[in-house]
Amino acid sequence: MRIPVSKASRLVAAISTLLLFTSAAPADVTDVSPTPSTRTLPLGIDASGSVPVSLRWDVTTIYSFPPAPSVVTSTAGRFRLGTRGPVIATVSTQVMASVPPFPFGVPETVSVLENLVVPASVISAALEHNAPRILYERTFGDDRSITTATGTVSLHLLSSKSGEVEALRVDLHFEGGAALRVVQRGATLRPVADIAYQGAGRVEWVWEVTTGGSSAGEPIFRPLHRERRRLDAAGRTRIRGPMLPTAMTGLRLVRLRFVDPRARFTVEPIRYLVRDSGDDESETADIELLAPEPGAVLEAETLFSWKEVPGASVYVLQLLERGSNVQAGSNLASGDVEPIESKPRTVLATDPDWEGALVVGLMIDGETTRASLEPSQWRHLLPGHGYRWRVTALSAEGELLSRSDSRPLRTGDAPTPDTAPSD
Amino acid sequence: MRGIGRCARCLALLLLLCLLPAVAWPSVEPPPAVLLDADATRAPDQPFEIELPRDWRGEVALELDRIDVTAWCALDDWFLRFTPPVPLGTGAHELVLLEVVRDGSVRERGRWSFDVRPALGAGLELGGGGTFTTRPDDDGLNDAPSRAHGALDAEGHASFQAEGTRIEANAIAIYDSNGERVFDGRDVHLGEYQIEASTLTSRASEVTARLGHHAPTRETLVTQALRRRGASLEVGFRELGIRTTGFMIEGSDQLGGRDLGLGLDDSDDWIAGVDLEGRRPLGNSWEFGLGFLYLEGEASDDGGGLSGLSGDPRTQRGSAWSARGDLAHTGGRLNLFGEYASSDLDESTSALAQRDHAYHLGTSLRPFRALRIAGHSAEWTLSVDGTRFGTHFRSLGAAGQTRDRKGATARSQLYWRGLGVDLTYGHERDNVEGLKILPELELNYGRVATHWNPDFELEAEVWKWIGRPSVRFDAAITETRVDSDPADLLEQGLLYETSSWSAGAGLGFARNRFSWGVGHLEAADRVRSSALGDERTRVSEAYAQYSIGSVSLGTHYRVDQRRKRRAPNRRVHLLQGDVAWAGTNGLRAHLNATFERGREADVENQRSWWLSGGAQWNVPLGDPNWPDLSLGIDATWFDRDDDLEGVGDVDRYELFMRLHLGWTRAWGTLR
Repeated sequence: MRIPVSKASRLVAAISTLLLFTSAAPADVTDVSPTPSTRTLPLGIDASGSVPVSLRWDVTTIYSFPPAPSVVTSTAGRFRLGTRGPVIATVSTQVMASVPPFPFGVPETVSVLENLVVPASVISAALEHNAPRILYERTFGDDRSITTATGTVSLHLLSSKSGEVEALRVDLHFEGGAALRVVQRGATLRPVADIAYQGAGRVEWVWEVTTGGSSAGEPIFRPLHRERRRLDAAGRTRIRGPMLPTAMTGLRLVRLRFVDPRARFTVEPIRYLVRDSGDDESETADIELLAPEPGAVLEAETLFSWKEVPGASVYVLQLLERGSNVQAGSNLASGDVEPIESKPRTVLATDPDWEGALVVGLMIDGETTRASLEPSQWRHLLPGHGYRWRVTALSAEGELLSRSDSRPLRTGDAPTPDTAPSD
Repeated sequence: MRGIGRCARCLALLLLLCLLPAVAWPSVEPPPAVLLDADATRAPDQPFEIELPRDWRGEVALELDRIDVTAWCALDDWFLRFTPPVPLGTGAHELVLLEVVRDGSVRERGRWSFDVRPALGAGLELGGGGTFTTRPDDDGLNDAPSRAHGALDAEGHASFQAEGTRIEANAIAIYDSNGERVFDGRDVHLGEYQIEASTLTSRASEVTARLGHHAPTRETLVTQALRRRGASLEVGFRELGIRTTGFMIEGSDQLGGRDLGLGLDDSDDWIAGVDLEGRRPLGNSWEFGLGFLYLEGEASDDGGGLSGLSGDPRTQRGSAWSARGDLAHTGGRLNLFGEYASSDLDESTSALAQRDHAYHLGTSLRPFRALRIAGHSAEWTLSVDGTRFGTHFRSLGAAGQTRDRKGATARSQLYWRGLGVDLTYGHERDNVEGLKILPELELNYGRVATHWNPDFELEAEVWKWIGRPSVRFDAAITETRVDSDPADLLEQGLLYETSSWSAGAGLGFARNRFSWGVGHLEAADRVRSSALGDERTRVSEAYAQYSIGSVSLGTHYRVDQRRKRRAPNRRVHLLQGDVAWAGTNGLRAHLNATFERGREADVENQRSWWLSGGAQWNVPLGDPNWPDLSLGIDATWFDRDDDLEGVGDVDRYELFMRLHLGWTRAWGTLR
């Protein structure tokens, strides 16, 4: 039987229409945009090693009629030396993302994440050719789509010293080295971060702590302290965090988050548990300090005095490190770089309650409630420096009877008295 | 690694120049005092007797752990006797004898370190707590954990002392019914624990074994935070000044390395090694030190790494070692140091094994012993050092071809006590030989910092209101220069030079329980590139803190602006406020409010509110042997509209009620 052409055409049209309504329509990929679009490879570390790069491909699609769920896919990525240069390597990892159905003709963008590792061989090949950059490209499309699109990331081969800072590792812990602490309520606790990084430049980070009860559910981190510093090419630095809240009992999480530039990893939070002490603080009532007044300037004849504690065998007067010039009120003017092995550098702590290491002390008989520093002790003190002082009362057995609050004072600009060590 | 180049020859010359004046210095050291019965360990109440040298002319001062104890000393002829007024605490102490000369100068005439250990003792301290939390209400939790939540924690510290042996153990354990959220899928989290045993095998040597969470050896060999545990054994020979440590540490995301990058980058397994260090005095105020480090372990698989030798992700395992030495003047006048390092890594994806070398030489010099400027003392230190890494850039395309990386640093630092001025100038060079696209870089930087506190009497009424002032200023300049070949890389913006400066100042006031202040920082980074833009940073902040009676108040405001050419401007405001109240009947409460607002490209696109508060009542149970019981309530409200983060809106609150039991007790003579 011979079917007329017109009938055949109508039959084909009908079948086509039927197929169109019974199968999913393809999604046309119209644009691919990578983030970041440029990236400096950290050759300052070791160009013979592979370099991981986190990428996000934003793929824009438009459905043909009728709309239906679809998947956009890129089967492979390619490394090139220059836009029209040769392909020097191929990444066979397939990346894909589902595209939900949406109205016909409305563009929709889906994100595809890729953890790319730039192989050492690719970097070495670029170095051999003195190529200033490597291009990495991917082509996205639906397997039934008519159109595809290609996105390109430019990977610059530059020494990291001219690039931005990138944190490599962060050793986050509390003072003393532990990553988990149980402290009594009201204790002084600060986090410390040892950071290994590459490059040089300005870095901003924020210390965050969980709100009171949220650590028993979904943790809610709130910012505790923001800081911005310029790091030189030292490669390592140590930063001290703010004093952590310990007024209320419970478990809290602390973390360090890099804001600008962002780290390519998340710093795992450390934890501390605040517990009620077995001893109520009223059992060791504070010693009342009499003189000098808070903020006074320490001089050779400055007389420290306090109220007597019954049963005290000795008093210990202590001057504690407080960070330089706390009253200056800002950490903004603090030094840019704090190499991990340099001697501790004074910082402008905004936290007036911070009490640091013992600088100098004096042991006094329990019958006496006033004392002055000995001339030999001035060699430990810096001029124009902020300290805190406090008094502790001990029994004849050396047990703590009572302790005062600490009170701020500072030394004058002139070295008083002149007791420079004669080596 | 290639032969010693020009950089190394310059360094050798500098070392020689620094060494010559040091050798030429006349050095007449006064004879030291002698501590009689100078045992390495002492009883808590054991008196000290010191024989003074016969040339003693000044006053005597004695410091124990920086605490002056002269008042407890008795001088009998040439013998000084110090009897501790209270038993000294268990552990390490240091005693320093000083001679205070009539002109006010102080000379150190003796320094002794010792451990205080009771002959026999034991101690046990246990603490524990339990918390039951229920959440009566919440909103906005997509994946809410259970409403009732319990947690138990236990902490123990035990110690035992017998003659020269001491054993200590610490442990923390936590059970959490939400453990799968908090502790990586585990309900019970055995937190950090450590067992340490040390014994004096003789008066001259000591052995210490550690098991659990601890840093294996010196700080420069960093191991990263969590789940870092292992075992180490340390042997010290006091008279020889030698200490050696062997260790094996496993952990997550570890980092091993020294300044040169020697080490293994261990991401998930173990690293083992031995560290040997010795230090001996040479007389005439000179001493020398030698060190050796050997590491072996499973190497990185995540691509991270250190500068220098390690961190190759293709390696499965490897080993590395370094030898170092230094010669130092005890007065800090001159220090010479050097280190040679080598690593040998097995690669998993290549037939090539990677063998690297590096060295590091340096010196620091303080030219003047007692420098005075305008009547005030000053310290001036010069330092230079150089490094060279072998096989830093290695060619896979042409096996055997390597390119070294070399760097050099020179630094001058002057601290003048007159105005607390700290001046620093530094110069760094860093380059890789023979790679045109990695040009030689120069980094110059200078920094000046000072702080001023008026030490005169501020009698005007206004100062009594606003408090005593203090001022600090800090400025820095940095410049990066590039010697590029070919030069068109600069023109294309693929290489760029930078210069930056920053200046910050802080002004603060303090009066009794009230303090307040302001600070400001201006910084600019100029990038000489057509492809990249300059950046300008401006940060301002202000704070105030006040306490009256049982209430303390604090507030802090900070605004951070960044203007970057070819990028949207960004401004972030952060406002914080805290109120805390401690009542008399075990009642206490706190309230914290934090607000952060971000603007980018002059469009407000981020706004976050945190509001949290709580109250707690410590129930008086009357008997001090009973646990502490407290009842509490916590509430958190969190609202975020955060386009910057790309996570969309969050609006939720949570209300918690808590019952907490806490208990701590100690027994024994050791704590």
